[in-house]
Amino acid sequence: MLAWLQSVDGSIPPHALLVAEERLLATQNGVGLYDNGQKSPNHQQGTVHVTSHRLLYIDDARPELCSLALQLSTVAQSEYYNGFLTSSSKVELVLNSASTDDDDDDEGWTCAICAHENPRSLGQRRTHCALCGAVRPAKSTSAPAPANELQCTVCTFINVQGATSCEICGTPLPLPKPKSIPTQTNERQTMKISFRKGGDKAFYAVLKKALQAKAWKVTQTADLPRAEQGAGISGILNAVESNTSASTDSVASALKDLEALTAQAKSMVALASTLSAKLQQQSAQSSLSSSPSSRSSTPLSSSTPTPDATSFIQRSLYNMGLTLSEGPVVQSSDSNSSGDERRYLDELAAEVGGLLSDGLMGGRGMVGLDEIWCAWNRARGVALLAPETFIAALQKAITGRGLGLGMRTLKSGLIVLHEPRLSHASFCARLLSSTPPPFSGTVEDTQVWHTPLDVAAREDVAVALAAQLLQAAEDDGLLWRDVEPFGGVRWTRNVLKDWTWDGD
Amino acid sequence: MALRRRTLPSGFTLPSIHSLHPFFTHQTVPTTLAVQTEHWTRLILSYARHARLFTLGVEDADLKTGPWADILYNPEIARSVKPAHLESLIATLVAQGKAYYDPPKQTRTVLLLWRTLDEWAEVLFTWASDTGQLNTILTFYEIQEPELKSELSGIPTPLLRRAIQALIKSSRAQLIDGTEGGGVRIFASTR
Repeated sequence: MLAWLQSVDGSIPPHALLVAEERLLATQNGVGLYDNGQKSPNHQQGTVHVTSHRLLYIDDARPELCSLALQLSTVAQSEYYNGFLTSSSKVELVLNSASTDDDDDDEGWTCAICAHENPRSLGQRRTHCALCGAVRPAKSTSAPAPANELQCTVCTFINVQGATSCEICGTPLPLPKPKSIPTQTNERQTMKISFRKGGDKAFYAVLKKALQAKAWKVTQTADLPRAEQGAGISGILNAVESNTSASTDSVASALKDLEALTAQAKSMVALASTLSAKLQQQSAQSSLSSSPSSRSSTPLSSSTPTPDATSFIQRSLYNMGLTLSEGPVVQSSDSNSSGDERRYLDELAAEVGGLLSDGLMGGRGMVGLDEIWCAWNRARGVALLAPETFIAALQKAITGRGLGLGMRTLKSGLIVLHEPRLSHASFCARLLSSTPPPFSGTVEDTQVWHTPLDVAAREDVAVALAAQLLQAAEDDGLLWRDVEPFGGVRWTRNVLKDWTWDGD
Repeated sequence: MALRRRTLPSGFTLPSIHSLHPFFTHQTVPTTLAVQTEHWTRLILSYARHARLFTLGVEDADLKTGPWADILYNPEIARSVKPAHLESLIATLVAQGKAYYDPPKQTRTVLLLWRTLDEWAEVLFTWASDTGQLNTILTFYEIQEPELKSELSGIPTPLLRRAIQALIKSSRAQLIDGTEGGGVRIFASTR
């Protein structure tokens, strides 16, 4: 019963069943299958999907057991029957049974040379690795390759399958014997898809197109140039280069999108500023017109909403992260808008303060501002913050909210946030307390070495930051450095200050 | 002061700082570097005086057995002064007038002045008068390689010429050009 079809696990959504170059073209539910003119009892209620390579039947009742897949490449012929009275319309497919037993369905495989994982593909199986072009080894399921096929006749070295000359002595290898071609049976099988809920015409049109497109052959030809790239390092380099250019293209197009978005944002700002200008104009006019007429009730009601509206626009702009650099809204710095800005900064400070006390530091003693900025922006989603705004808010958070954190600029210019114990003064004090006072022992005792690595371990900071902390202490003349013969740098207490000449 | 001072077989006592690793590293912090350079120049000059060394070159930094190896290389801590560091030390010596480039127009070799030229002139005059050789013509060789070892033994010719120039300036000597090397006549003091 439909034995020549492959069974698939229909409980998996059809999109996940597709392989690399396969595309889902159309779907129709409420179909049943006929096998050689007979109703197939297990396949009477299901959904059929046509992809560029396959026809998938997913059974409604028992998807994991009764679902089937048919390679379109095995379809020799298709016919369409209109429904008549109780008979629903059907599509008949005449199948080439001979080609079905060939292992068309290509499992994914890992290249033995470059370890590239070649994806599963349909149609004709890949014979070469997509990345380096090395010949694909024989299926691992078959017994270990017959050794004599690739054993060098001269030096008896057993070569990799697919090699044309011996790896050791360069002697041309005998070509492996071609596989015995399975005897073709000319028996023809037919299957029918019965459309019980309609949709037949549209589905058949798509199926017909897919059969004509012969996607399983197209992928093969698309693979050809890659095979021509040749094997070896240059082949790999070419493949990597083409991948890189493809990703560059996609990044470029993505950035183009971003630029378009920025342009939109600019026009938004312009719109908002004209709006607020209009509102201010209106409020000026209304206060002019209302003041002479009646002073009792109208001035209040007509002029109060306008500042609110202005500030609302500004607030929403701030919320969107669009700050008005030269717009008239900020320029006309009446008490209202500057107050808004201050409040905006205050709220930002509260937000970042919350983040910091929620463990943004991650238990580390010292974190670069770039990291905090990225983490905060990630938390904010689309409302990104400019670095200046970020630093202003952070300074406010540190001075105003008592987070118990300090900020310092390292020698490289990197600004970091640190716990109080890592401030310059307390770090240096701790560093020197671990060193005995100078000239108290032998040379070995006097010189306690500090390397970035062990400072990083002791102080729980990153190694690069530890090196900068040590350099800051060195700049103060507390340490001096020793460059070891192989280039490593280590620091020890600078004794020059307290030392007096004791030689001849 | 428990830091060990090392006394060389020649009798020269190295300062204790010489056995610290960082002393051999070209320091990067200006204040530290200034102190370090000061100690180095002092060490170089006092060792040169001790060992009667007149020339110092950048190449000496690489010689583990040369005349300068005792101070430029410390085998106990496996540290040596790097050529670039030595070149900057030499430049400092020249800037302080404790050395001058010889031959001129290069920066790799210097003549060290652990005595100033005037001091050398005085030494030359004293030696001449002590050995009773005033008012006689002396060849440079007689001054550089006297039968009895003197303060002036082995003094390089360029340095000797400069010392004589200093004597000439106070009109106590006269340079006599000859076909071979030349000579000098030192007069009795005209003071």
